[in-house]
Amino acid sequence: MEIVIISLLAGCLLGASNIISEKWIGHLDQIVMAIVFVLLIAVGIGIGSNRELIGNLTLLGYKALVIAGLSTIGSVLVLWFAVLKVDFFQHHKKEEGQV
Amino acid sequence: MKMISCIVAAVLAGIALGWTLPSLMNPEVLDRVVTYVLSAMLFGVGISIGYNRRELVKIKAVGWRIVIVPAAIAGGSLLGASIACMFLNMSLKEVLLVGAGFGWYSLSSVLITQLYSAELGAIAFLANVLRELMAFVLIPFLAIHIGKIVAIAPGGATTMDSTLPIIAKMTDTPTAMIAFVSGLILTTMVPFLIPLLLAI
Repeated sequence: MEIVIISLLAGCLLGASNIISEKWIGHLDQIVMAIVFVLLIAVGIGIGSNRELIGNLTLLGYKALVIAGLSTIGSVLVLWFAVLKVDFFQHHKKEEGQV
Repeated sequence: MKMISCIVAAVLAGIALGWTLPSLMNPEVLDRVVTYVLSAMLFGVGISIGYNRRELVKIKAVGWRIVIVPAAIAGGSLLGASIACMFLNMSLKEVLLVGAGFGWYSLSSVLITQLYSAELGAIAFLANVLRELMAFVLIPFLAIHIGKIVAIAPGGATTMDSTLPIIAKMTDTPTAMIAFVSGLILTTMVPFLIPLLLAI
């Protein structure tokens, strides 16, 4: 699995260097999307070939819904609290005023 | 929305393929192939992140406070997910792994399938797709009724790509830039956070 992190870091370095032109970045998004679809099909194959998992799909969906709902609500509440404590916009406007 | 249907279609196609031809795939070979494909994807994502370093310079004006946004989103997501283990028959580690995807379904589902189990990978996929769907609905609502910055939260890691257009439309340019940086930071965190949570 280290190879995954190494690839990410190598990509970051390459992207941060000036070798890549803007034209390439446009193609890159399409290539990444194509790879994502290959991975999604692979995830599907993993689910589909596991009969036990298919039988439990409703239960898995229910678990997924609970976790997704709670983590979304959690992120909204914590960020809301943070916004009440730190005023990003006032700070930003001040900076804009200086500029 | 077209994107979401394509994603669901791809997974359903995979499920159908795996269901009809379970012998087609040798788990070990599939594992190895997926790892390499995943590395290729992250190499591409890395190039985007590195390239967008130039964008980061533009919002220097907002200052270091910007990191509070992804930190609050990450902390809140994990906190919310940890509450889920009280209702579900799952360990704290499992719910945290699913919550740590921050809406990045493709990476979190593949990583969790590879490193933990196909079952949790399936939950991670569904949960993170659902999170993205919820984000599409919640962003306009939060932007109007609560606040522009708060509207960034439900998108998680997706605020640098798929949900960014909606944030830009419903809020303003400074908020969209904060959303982009927040998504970028969260996206960078996911491939580190998931193996880290597994190691604990």
